[in-house]
Amino acid sequence: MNGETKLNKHSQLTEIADNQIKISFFPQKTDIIELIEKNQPEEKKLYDLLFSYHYVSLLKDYDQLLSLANTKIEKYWHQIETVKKVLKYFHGRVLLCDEVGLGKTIEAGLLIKEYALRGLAKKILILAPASLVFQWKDEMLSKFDLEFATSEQSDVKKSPLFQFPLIIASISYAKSKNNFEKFTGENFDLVVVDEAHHLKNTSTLNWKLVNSIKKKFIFLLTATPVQNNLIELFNLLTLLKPGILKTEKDFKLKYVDNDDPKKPKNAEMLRELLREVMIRNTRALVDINLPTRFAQTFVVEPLPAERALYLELSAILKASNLDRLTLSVCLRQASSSFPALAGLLQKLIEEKKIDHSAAALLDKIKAVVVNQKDKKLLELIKKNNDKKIVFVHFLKTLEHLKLLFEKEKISFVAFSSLLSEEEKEEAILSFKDTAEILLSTESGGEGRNLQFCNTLINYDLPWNPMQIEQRIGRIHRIGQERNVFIFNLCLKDSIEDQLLKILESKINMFELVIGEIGSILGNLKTETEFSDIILSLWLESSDLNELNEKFDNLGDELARAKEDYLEVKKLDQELFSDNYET
Amino acid sequence: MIYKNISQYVQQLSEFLGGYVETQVDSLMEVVFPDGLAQQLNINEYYKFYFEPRPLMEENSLVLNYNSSLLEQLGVSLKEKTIFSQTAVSSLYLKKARLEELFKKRLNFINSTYKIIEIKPSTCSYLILNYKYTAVSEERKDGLTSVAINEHNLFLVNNLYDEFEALFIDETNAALEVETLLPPSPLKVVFSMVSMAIEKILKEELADFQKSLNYRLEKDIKRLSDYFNAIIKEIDKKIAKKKTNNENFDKELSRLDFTEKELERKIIDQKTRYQINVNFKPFSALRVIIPVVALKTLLRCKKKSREINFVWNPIIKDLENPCCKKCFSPVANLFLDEESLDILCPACRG
Repeated sequence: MNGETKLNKHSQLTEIADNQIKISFFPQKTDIIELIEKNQPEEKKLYDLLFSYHYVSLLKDYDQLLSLANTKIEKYWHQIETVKKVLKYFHGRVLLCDEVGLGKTIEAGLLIKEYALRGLAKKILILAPASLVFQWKDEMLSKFDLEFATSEQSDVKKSPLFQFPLIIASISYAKSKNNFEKFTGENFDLVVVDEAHHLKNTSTLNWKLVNSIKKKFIFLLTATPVQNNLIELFNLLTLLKPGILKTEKDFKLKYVDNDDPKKPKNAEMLRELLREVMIRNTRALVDINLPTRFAQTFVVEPLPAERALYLELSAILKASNLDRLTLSVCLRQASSSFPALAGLLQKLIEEKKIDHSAAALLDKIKAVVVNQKDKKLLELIKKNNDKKIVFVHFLKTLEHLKLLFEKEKISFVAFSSLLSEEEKEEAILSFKDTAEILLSTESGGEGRNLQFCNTLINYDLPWNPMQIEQRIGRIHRIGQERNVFIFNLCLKDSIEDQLLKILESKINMFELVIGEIGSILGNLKTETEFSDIILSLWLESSDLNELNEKFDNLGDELARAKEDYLEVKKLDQELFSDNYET
Repeated sequence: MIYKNISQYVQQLSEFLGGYVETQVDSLMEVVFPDGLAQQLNINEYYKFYFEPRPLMEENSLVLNYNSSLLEQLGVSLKEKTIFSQTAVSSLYLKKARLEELFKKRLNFINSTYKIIEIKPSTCSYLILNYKYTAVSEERKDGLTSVAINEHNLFLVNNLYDEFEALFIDETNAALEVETLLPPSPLKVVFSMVSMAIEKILKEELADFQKSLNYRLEKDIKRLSDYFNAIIKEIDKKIAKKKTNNENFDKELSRLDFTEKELERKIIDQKTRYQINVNFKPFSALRVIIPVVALKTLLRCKKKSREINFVWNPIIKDLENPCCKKCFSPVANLFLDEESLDILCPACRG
């Protein structure tokens, strides 16, 4: 027999791996049948206690989780296994490095809930980049029923932050000169650090802050623990378990290639050590094969009157002394729909916060009946009978479209935060059964199964790409079996038009995996929230050409941030592969 | 009810052990244990239990959480205990209208005719068996699971443990109404059915565990195969070079043979390592008597006939499917054995 034949034989051997692992059952000896036959039942109270005893025993060994019954979110098995492992084997100190989009926040939320319910953690601190503080607050409340106080809240400003047991703070706030000692002076039971790769360098205040905070348990969350070299990993692990990798000098000597600081030596030994502190679930493990996503943007040419109104509004707003938040709302409302803008404009005129010339503008706005975006929307809806979700940001826009759909006799159901839980449930059922359109605002619909629908229309667009991604995530998620179609509507030369151009042409946003946009934005060299950057661009531009130019520059920065992200992602995939899965 | 809340559980357990319990606020409980018990378990007689972390602790005070060793000490007498208990649910809504219509829609009699003789409220006994299991493979998983079965017709009430539990709020200790009770099947038969069902239930519960292990096994086998493939390729190259030298040629061939066998052996080792063995044991049983609607029906096959009670269950709010006499699976398309008139499923009828 020659070697080749033998190789063929060998390839058959590996097929054994395709078989499922067998389960064998071994019933243990029991006297339960005799007890039942004797028919001398004991008190039900004792029966309850015995069941509770076994249940509590499982809780002790972390084979049963309390948080599962106390959260109303879709949970996946890899998340549950991760939580159990962190409790059971990692003793509350772990580096959670799941690949993007697998739900690190859900894992952290379940863990926080579990520690709280078990009485293991009462005082909890979440440190996140400034741009993610509100998202964390919102997710902890809506998904885990945990009300965190943040440094940004007005009620917190009245009373000391540390009076609250559950706190979310931005790292920049916590490390500031005024706050560093306050944070490091507190005793926390649990500290969670999101985007923990910002702690890669021991000489930074970020690292020093987390190192100095007194804590029993700590979870570090990042999809990309190593960005430039393996010392970053050493620095992160030293926060988790000081000494696990000995000194930096020892670590370099033992585990880092002399010629390439990104390359490990003694890889197997390092892997064994890392397995004690790190979990990294991959998409291959979770077996996520989402269908393809197709996106198309319709840039609608506004009527001359619409364009004139838009320009006039821009001029009035620029000349005003309105605060940034009001300015941003006005601009986004104007792009969403004129009826959305009318209410706020009226209020600003009444409060004399805006030039009196706005009154004439308001009259003109009120006179607009149908706009060009509405026409395009109707065209899209009437193209086929498939179910579609139409997303709007503002309730007034929702009302405007309700009237339009009623007039056009389109079968729809409206969904917004104004509905009670029961009404929301009914609305989703009605959309599933009969209605063609779900007309929805973003809030309140998370976690509901909408995978029976595969078409989404963004009637307006949030300025924060992560919110756009959240909208997409409502239908492009596990359980979706058909290709997903996303249609974006925007007015030509509007801020949203500029935004979509760079999101599509510079980073292909609509083809990214869910979660990746967050990592890309995290690579921008600013801590300012993305929507705030957009507003600044608008404020700093004197005309459309200048705005175009500024958006182009932002697009280039985004492209660079994406390149950085992809490079780091590749490095981490090579370094960690699938060796740290649950 | 299950005492899922730690303070409720500690209270019930302490009282069961003869302790005197006083709860002042949610997070504080004072307990005095009988002197003898305290000595026997090597614990204090008096405790102040807290259920949340506290910075300062007074004498005899203890923060209890699910990991506290004291909980284990207190529960030691329950560890190996097996219990049978019984209860009844008195009032449940019973469907009266359109039952015949439902019956016609849900059941299909293939080789027999039927006639509903009487529809009347009855009672029926259900046995809930609670199991503790341990699955051991490359890692270990412990869990609890339950099976609920109608003792009269052997219908398995899937995943309804919680619903049963919720009903116990209305439980009564009133005497069981034996006159209206549909006769239970022999316990042996009930247990044959439960034995079959429990393995299926456990398989479902362990599906994710199995999936995760499968994934790891495949990864391990791939790693092994890659490694041994590389060696095999090296040997192949050597064989190609040394074709002329017979002695070395044979040596390499036998090395090749050995390497293949080694791989085969290592793969078998891996598969053995990942094999899942599940030990399981019932630790308690609860018989629940609940009101049901019985549909007394005459079944006729050729010239023979028999009466059978079909059951409308107020908990699942549906008609329970009868079970196949041979394989115990629930049947919607019913065959009758022409000799015994036992109900058979299409597969067992052949």
